[in-house]
Amino acid sequence: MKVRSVPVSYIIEKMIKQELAKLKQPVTIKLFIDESKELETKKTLSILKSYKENSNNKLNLDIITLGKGTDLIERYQIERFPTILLIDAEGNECIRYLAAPQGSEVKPFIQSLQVLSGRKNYYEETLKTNLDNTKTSTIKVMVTKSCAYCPELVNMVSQFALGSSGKVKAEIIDILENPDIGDHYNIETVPYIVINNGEPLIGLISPNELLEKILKV
Amino acid sequence: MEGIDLEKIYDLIVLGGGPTAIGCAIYAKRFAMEVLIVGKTFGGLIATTHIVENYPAISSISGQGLMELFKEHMNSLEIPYISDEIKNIEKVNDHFELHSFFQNFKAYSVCIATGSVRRKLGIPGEEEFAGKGVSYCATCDGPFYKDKVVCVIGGSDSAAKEALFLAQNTKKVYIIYRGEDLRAEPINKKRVLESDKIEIIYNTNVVEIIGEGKVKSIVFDNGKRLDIDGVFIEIGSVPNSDIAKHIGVDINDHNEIKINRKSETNIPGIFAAGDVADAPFKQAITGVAEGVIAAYSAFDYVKEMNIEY
Repeated sequence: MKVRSVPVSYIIEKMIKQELAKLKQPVTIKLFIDESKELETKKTLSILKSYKENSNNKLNLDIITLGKGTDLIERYQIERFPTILLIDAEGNECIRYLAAPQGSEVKPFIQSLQVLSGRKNYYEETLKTNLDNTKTSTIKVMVTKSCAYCPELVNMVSQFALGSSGKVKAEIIDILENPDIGDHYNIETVPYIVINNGEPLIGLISPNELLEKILKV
Repeated sequence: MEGIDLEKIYDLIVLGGGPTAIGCAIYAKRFAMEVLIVGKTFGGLIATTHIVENYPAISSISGQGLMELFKEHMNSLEIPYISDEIKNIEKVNDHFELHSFFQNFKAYSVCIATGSVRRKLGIPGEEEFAGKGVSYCATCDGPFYKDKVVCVIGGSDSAAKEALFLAQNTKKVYIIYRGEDLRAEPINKKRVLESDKIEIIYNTNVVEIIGEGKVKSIVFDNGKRLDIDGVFIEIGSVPNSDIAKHIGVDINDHNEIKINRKSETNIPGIFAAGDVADAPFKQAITGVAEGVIAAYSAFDYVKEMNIEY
């Protein structure tokens, strides 16, 4: 018997439209590309352009090409292409994506855009109280496209980055797209979190566990 | 935080993020109840299933795909969802107060649909090599084992499906099962038996996982050793019922919340459904049904309180 699969891509497309319509203030995404990496560049550009098209002009997409935007590449210390940066109104980096925001990763990406656009952040109040006297932490979240738990964790870490007044920076890394990073950390499971290059956290953790780990670091 | 009012007393707060919780919230919303979902993991355990073929009206879909459909339905009704973990529930006058580290919520009724977590084997090497060859999620970690040799420990339908998923990209998959015959659904059992990449080792327990930095081999209870790159443990799950114990909800010997046919617990206003409850059959579809019953019972409970909608 041939089994019919249900396509869910149309559901995701619908969700993108609905959720991007909720953007309040304009938001800027910076995309750093290397034109010599034609395939990756084309894929990422196509995804982000579809976000822009569905945003009622609330989404600005700044495309910086290797060799043509040296000052910005240096300012944001861009080492890989493509890199997507979600920045705040002052131009400060909040979330770095070394991953394509597609499939189940659409939800956390758009929720970050919504917060940057003026939506209230659930964790912000508690984070500000607790992280007031801490140094800046960079949280790397290693994911794969097929990982069911990853979007939840990506969302949590992203919201922490957006609600921490710059005390937390998030990096979302697809380790199948960046296998050298996976090899560096010897990763064989996802989600896999590293805070400031400390001991890894494996699997899904709750927001309060994440905050405790940040405070320990 | 769109659509979330921390001052409001919700009619129903549903704890959990799987199909049971969302099914419950959808019905509650359609009963015009003020409902909020607070979940630690959106999607629950079923989101880690690579293929679901027994959810009526949907012939075949990935677990993640199924949960995308649930999410779309939830969003269409504007049901708010919060990623957080409730640590404590207390009864205050006519309502419950729910506390997380980040926020406090209030509700006249609560449905606990917190599901379950993967059971661990409890053998030497399991903790040491977690994330270094020991995994509890084939869809998450399967891509790391392309052309490698892996094993699935367990004999359930889930174990069979994990093995079938892993067989797509690995060199070989062993199923190590303590019983004499797989307990998988006949259709999946047939697929396993027909796969030339899957070999089943029956009547055998794994007693140790050995490695150096990462998994190298496993040891059986007959003393034999098998060289392996990855160990996927699929031996059932343990109910996430800690929050229920906190408030005095009755729990059985398997740590499941005791419910009746109305999904009621021993505490009026607290309901439970799905894998965390003591129903014998743990499936997405039965969990959703119990969640729906919980919503209906919560509606009746809140209505009896004469609260205006």
